[in-house]
Amino acid sequence: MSVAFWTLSTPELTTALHFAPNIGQEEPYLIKMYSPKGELYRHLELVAPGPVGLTVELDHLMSELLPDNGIRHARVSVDGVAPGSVMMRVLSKSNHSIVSPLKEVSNSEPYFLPKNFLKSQQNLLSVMNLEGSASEIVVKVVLPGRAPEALLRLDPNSTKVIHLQTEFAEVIDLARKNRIPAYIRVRAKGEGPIAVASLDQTLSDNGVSFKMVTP
Amino acid sequence: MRTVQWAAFLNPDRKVGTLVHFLPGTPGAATPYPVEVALTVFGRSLPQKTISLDGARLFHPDGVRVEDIFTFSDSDPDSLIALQVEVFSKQQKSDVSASQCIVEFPSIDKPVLFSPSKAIINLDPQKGTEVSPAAASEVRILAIKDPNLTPSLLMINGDKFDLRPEVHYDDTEDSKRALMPLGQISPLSVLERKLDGTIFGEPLAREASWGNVRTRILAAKASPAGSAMYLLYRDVKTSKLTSVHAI
Repeated sequence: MSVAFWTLSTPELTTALHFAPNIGQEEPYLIKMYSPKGELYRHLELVAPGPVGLTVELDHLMSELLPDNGIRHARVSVDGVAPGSVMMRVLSKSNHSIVSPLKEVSNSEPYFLPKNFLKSQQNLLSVMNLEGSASEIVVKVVLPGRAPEALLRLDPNSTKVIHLQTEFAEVIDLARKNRIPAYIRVRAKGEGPIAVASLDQTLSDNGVSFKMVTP
Repeated sequence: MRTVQWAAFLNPDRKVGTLVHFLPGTPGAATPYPVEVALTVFGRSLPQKTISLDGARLFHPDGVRVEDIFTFSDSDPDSLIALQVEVFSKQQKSDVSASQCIVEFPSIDKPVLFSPSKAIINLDPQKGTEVSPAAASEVRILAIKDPNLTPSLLMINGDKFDLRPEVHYDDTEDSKRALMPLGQISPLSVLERKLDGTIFGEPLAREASWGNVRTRILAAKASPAGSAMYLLYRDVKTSKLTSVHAI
């Protein structure tokens, strides 16, 4: 079985993978890291952890990546894992949280996320193509009576970070001014598996903070 | 007829409240016809109450604040309240199994969102009632304990009988599985149990840049429809929830 996570590295936020301790597993775990352009830039084999399990801090595995849209980010996939045995930790100065593997989005079950657009926040959406052929996706911001959409093409294995405030400026401005709750919907146009993650960037007097919002 | 049912729980901070969001959907294309949405709440000291929502339609995302439609007593000593969400259609042949639900405990800087446990209930007059996933199947999840996060298990019994949850953990030092002593949960109630040091084992720590980390694999028997089990993580200093994972 294979699982995937979206990982990023900023001065305020880093990530780590936790592997479960296992009884009797001898096969190694295969960790593959893909750059935003879809290049496989790291391929690691980890011996299955013994009774104490394993923690892999991902920050130093991303140092060679160039920032994309202001952040260093990658998709990490782990092959050869039993269901439920790998989770990702998101560490920030003020908060630690545990994130489950990404869910594959299909044509019939789109990605769906509620979103309150705030003046102090920038909202980013990371869309990932999980396979080796190009894919098309439809991103939609849904407000009562309005649902503009954008069609995006994703190269094989690539990740695209969308600034929602730039892509959907008019409707998000309306939602912010009138405090209208909105929904994000993302679906694959073809059959290809894709995944989506959301990141909120908050600007305050104390600087910039990030929050990964993944249900 | 197919009904989709999620079992979740309300934000213990009743003033902040709980937002429930749903996206009714079908596996294939269909016109956006009306669907039924019903919310049910219950707890140890709260009798079961159900309210139906009007206006839901296929493929149209919508949401409500649960505390705006149900009345809860401020002096309620039992702060853990279960929430069941049901989506169904009165049309016999319709299939709303692709519907989705997200529960949100809102906050400007640290919202907690989670996808609740989902069950699909097939009501077939010939075959009877079938529920997927089957209650006998087993679900595994990694639990983590360290200086920043403290894990706990939250269990919802949506049945009218006592529930004795079966959760094992892998005792990797002795290469065997051990049963967690969770006791039983009263009918229509919610219980949270901290996962303490006894299951993680003091010597089994490894060092990370933020401190010593301990992990265990939990294996839980899948809950029957209307019931559910969650792995929660709270901040050690503030006890505030940081993430919620359906098991």
